[in-house]
Amino acid sequence: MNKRYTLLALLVAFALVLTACGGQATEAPPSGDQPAGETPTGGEPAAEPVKARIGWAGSPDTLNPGTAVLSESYTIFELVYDSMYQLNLDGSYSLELAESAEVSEDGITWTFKIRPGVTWHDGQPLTAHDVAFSYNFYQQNTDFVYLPVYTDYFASVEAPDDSTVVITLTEAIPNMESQLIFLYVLPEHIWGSLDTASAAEFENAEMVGSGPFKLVGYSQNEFVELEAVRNHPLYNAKIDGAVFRTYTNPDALVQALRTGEVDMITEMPNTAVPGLRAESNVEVVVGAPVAPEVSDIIFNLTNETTCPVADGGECTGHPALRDRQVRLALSHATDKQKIIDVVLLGLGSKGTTLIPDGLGVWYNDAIVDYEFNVDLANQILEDAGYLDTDSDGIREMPGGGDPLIFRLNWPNDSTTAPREAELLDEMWTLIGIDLELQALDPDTLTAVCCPVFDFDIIIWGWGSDPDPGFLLSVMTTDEIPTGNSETGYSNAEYDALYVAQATELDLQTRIDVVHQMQQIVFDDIAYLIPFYAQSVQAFRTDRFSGWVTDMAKVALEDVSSLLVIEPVP
Amino acid sequence: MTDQPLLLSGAAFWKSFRRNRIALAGLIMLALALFAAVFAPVIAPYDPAASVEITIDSIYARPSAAHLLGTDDAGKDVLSNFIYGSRVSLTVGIFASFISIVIGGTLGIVAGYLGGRTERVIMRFTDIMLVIPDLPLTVVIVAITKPRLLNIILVIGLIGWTTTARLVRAQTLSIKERKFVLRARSIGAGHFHILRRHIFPLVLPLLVVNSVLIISLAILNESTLSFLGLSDPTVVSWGQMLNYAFERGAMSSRAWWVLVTPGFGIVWLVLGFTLLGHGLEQVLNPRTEWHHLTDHPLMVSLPAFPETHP
Repeated sequence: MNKRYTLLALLVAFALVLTACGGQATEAPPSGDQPAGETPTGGEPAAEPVKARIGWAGSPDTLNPGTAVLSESYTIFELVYDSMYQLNLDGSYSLELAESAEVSEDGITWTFKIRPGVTWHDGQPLTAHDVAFSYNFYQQNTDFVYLPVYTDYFASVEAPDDSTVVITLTEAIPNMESQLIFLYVLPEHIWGSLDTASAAEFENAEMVGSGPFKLVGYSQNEFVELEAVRNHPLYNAKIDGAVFRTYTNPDALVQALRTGEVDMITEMPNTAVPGLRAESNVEVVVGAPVAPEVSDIIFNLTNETTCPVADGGECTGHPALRDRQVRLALSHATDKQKIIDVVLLGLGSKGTTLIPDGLGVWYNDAIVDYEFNVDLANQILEDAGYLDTDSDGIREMPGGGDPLIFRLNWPNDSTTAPREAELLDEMWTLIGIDLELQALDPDTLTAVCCPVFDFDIIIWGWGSDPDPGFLLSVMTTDEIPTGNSETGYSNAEYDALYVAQATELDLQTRIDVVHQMQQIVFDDIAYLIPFYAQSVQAFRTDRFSGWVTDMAKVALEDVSSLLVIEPVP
Repeated sequence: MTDQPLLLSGAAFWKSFRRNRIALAGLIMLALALFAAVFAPVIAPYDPAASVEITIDSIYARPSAAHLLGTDDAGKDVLSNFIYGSRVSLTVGIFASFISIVIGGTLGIVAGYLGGRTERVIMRFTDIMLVIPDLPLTVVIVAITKPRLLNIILVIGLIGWTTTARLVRAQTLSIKERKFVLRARSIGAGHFHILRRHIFPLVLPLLVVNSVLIISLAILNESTLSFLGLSDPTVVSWGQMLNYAFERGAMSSRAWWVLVTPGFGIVWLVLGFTLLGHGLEQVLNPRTEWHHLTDHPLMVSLPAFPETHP
């Protein structure tokens, strides 16, 4: 796996985290910009169309799949475009545009049959040529932000006839489905005329797709209006369309649901849950998010040998953090349940490794977490020679060196980190460790983080792909100079296993390797993972019924719900 | 015309002050706040640093007998946070304003008295500092230093002296042209003596009034920084309370008490200092109370005060 893959995926993962954390709040909306009116386009027919009104905190950054980075854009792509496979809420993949998929013995050649009768929203038929064009297009447009990385293993994509697509790989890979789910199929008759430069600037405001909904209106930071496609061979929505409205203030978003201005909200502060639960006609849904976010407490582990000096590494981390015993003591002194109770109001589960429980089979649930035990933590530090020689309540390095005062930073746009930092300060004081707390704006934090490593401890996070590959790469030695590795963790055994799992074709074997890798980083305590947060959404029960709430993951704005909800009579 | 006292004596000052309702109101407001800040550990029903067990249903508890002003997003007592928060605002306000006044006063007097090249250099520097927007500069400096309370006091104090410098310079310019300064100089008084005995006493009332008014600005600056999440996270302050309320959905929970309480505190202090400042201005400079056409002997001998609104 080359570096570009991970670097670009980092950007996206990062963007997903930022949107989730409320980064959109920094974009001040123009004054008086609340989405207005029932249907912003006007000129509606006599019979009032029934559209689901969805409130969200963000807005797509662009409708061009090549340049979009925010998760809101991808929500719209999922509804308007089709791809070869779709990711279901139970974590499985199912065929979407493809009617059948066949793979050769050696795993190199994949042959897909395209479903007949699918047309573009402008009436043109969708053929295998569109698919082949799209895949090649993504591969050629290397300055596209996100999607080209999924074509990294494609040697060639061809369409021998109108209904057959043949993908030849450079080597067999275990996760073909997860490579294809985000590769949206684009109409060649629209995108075919664009060269690399114009493709990156293309706004795609008239978005022509083949999915269950078509775009009828869009204004950035205001609304996205979709209309259900009738006579679609794959889908038949029971509603006439959906309108996504942007509310940049989370309180306004919750209020809009309360007053019935919207029928569903995609995200909300956990603090609003009790209030909404008490509301009649409103139901709150809590579950695993589709794109799980991992919150991590990052230790600066860089030392003389691992410091990426050539890439600007300063590696000013506190020497005590390089000692596993200190990190072990910190783990034992951290009451994760308390953090979950205060920061997430209980809506989360205790974390162990960077691979969240939301990733299903990839998550190693056999790992036994370090027990919360302050006495044990103190004993560990005592035994390791970190004593409080000057009786000021703070331990010093063995032999009476520097005191154990760690800098703790977090992004100042995070709504959870300040409370978390407050709790860590409270908990770690009990084992004679002092923290210097400071929120930093995300740019400054990126600058001190990696590969500069001018920090001690950072509270931050990652967004996750459905496949664990990317998050596993973050902890490899190769990623230290690129800035993807936030800890500077380096372990030859781990690195070797990472290479092994990337090309392991047998699912169970790959799962075992991935689990083993998690155990290794957990034993080495490269990170402290406080929790895996749950996704919280809410909908009105008096407008539509049939929201899909019983799946392993919660995403009411997903196709799975929007296709089955029907108006309440 | 006989010599009028140029400065009011202590007793005369208090007599005049007592009759000034605005000043008295401000003083009482501030006395209450100061009392709360000093005796916070005694008055506050809970310790803000104490750990609290919470569940999703126990946050933002409504005001009750146990929690007179309800609880916040972490289940902590709002009244206690409010009482402890006054310490930060008062400390930052008073100390930052002191720094501003010392710097602004010194530079203003020196510039006004010496004149010439010194004055030009000092005043151009003041102008430069004056046009830099305060808030972004404060945010940047706080970001590159550690957000300890001391640093925040220093940053706010080091940025807020510019208006004082300009006002004091103008006042000094007017005073140094007075006959008694000329007399003092002609009998051989040195610069330092003139500054100390003749100029400074006449600038002092201006400094006092100005420092009281600057405290309000410093309090607002500190609250702004905390609201942006950039202040010392380990100390409870009103801006920080507002930050948590805003970021963690207090409005959605209809927890008005989390928003109104710190907001009220900030208004209370700022209003208190402003009233006191304006009251002091009237007491120390009676001219502000009279119409300029009123003929009163005091007018002739009291120094002319420039407008002291920041």
